[in-house]
Amino acid sequence: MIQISDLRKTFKPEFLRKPVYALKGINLEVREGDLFGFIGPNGSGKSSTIKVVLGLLKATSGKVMLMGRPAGHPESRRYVGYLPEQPYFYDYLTGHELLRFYGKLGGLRGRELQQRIEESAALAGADPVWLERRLRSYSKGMLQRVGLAQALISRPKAVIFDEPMSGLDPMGRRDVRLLLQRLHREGTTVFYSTHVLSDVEAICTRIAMIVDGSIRREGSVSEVIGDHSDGFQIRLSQPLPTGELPADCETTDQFHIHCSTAASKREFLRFALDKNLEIEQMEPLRGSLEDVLAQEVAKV
Amino acid sequence: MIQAISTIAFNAFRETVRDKILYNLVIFALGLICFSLVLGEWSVLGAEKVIKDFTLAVMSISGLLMSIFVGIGLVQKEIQRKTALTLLAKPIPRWYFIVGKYLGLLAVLLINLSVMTVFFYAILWFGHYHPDWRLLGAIYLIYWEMAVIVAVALLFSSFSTPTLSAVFTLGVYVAGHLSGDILNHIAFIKKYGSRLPGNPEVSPWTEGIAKATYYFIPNLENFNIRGRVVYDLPVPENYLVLTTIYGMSFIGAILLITCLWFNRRDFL
Repeated sequence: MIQISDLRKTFKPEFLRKPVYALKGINLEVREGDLFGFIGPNGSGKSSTIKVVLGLLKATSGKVMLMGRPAGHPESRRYVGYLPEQPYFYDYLTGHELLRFYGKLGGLRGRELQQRIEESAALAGADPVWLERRLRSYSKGMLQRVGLAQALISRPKAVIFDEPMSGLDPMGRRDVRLLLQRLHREGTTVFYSTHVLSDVEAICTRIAMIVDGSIRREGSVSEVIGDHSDGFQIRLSQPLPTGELPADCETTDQFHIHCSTAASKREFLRFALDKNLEIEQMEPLRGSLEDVLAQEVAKV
Repeated sequence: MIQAISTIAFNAFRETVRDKILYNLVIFALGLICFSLVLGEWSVLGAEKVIKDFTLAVMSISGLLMSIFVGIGLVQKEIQRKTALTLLAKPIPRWYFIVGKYLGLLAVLLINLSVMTVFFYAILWFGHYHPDWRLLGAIYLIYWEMAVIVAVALLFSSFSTPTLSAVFTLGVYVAGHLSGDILNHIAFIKKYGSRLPGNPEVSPWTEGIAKATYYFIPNLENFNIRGRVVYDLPVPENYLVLTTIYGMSFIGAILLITCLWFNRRDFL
């Protein structure tokens, strides 16, 4: 869906100021069917990358392909829906007029256009009643929903959302998260940037972490967190009898054992079998994306 | 292509029509046209000629103000408010945006000029003056002059700030009306300067700048036949057609440059 090779973007400021190297050789691939989270601190290059993909910014160098075509080619955006960060729309239009406008630009007309307006509005949770009001009276959440609806109006094969949860209340964030999951389930490729790392950990199939204009990590959540594994937590349904535990395993209380390596976890499982101990729950203890991101930011 | 451009044009039209600044300008212009009746009464010249001359001037100036303020705002607002991001991320080339906006504003100007024209003719009719059909020729060329100015406003607003764009566009308007006169004046001084007091001369630089202005900036005096129409002077045959072609050529060139520039720019 999206292939980015050695993408560089340098902003040349006015007069004698130093150039700003926004993107420093980015390589990234978003595959068909991915629910791809793009994370990084403010000013790391997330929005710039997205804008280059959509042809809104011109790459200084590198190759960017969208839907099999060079980024910037209008046809590359034919089946792509886009929601910008903090979207602004024509406040003199009603929500319905706005969706009609974008639908027509996407090539829809007649009955199909009306049908898609209703479908995309419903999908984004945009109420038909307030769609008849002018956008200048909309709250942030309502604008975000109309923004999502316009991104979905042409039934896109891929959507690119730039911080779709920005400024939303917890319920709004939840709705957007559910929408992303639903789109993914229905086969739409989702590429979105966000600061909400807990959501990324919970729903994304793949992620990329960008810091200071460079991709620092890319892969599944577990691959990205990978070497931040913090062992395994085992909970017993009965108190642990006194006795010697395998190496690298220690009790946190009578019911909980922490094994710091996979080998020690296997040792403990044998130990539990020998002792006839019933295991109620066992889970890997991972570091969080936040930890990994903090570590990468600290390297800059 | 046609659907996308007409959609953008219709939206630009709707945006402008729903903007209060437009109504203020139209009401102001209609008020001034009414004022021409008073001026006519006061004038020592014939009232009819004063009403016609003044009203055509009001139409021209109000058209200029609309072209500058609305024309610059149409693109600048999209860039500053970032509404252009969502629009340009749709599967359309960027030049659709420029051409669509341009056509939308032309439609607005057409309707405004039509309203003023109807008002003008109504005043002439009810005032028992002579509603000469030749006035329509002058109004037609006012419209084409505004079409050129809108194109210039779009060009400047595609890369400059609103204030600078307004200043530049106004500069082109003034230069466009004066460039012919300046060139004639230079030719006169070159020919007769030695016989004039103080022996004035024209430096090659001054002449070069005057010639560049004349050839690269549309000569807007070509669109001004108001005096000829009001004072019953003859207008050359095919003048309207030739001036229309002249205006269209400049509009085409200016829009082409605007589209090329707009195609290169980054949208942050």
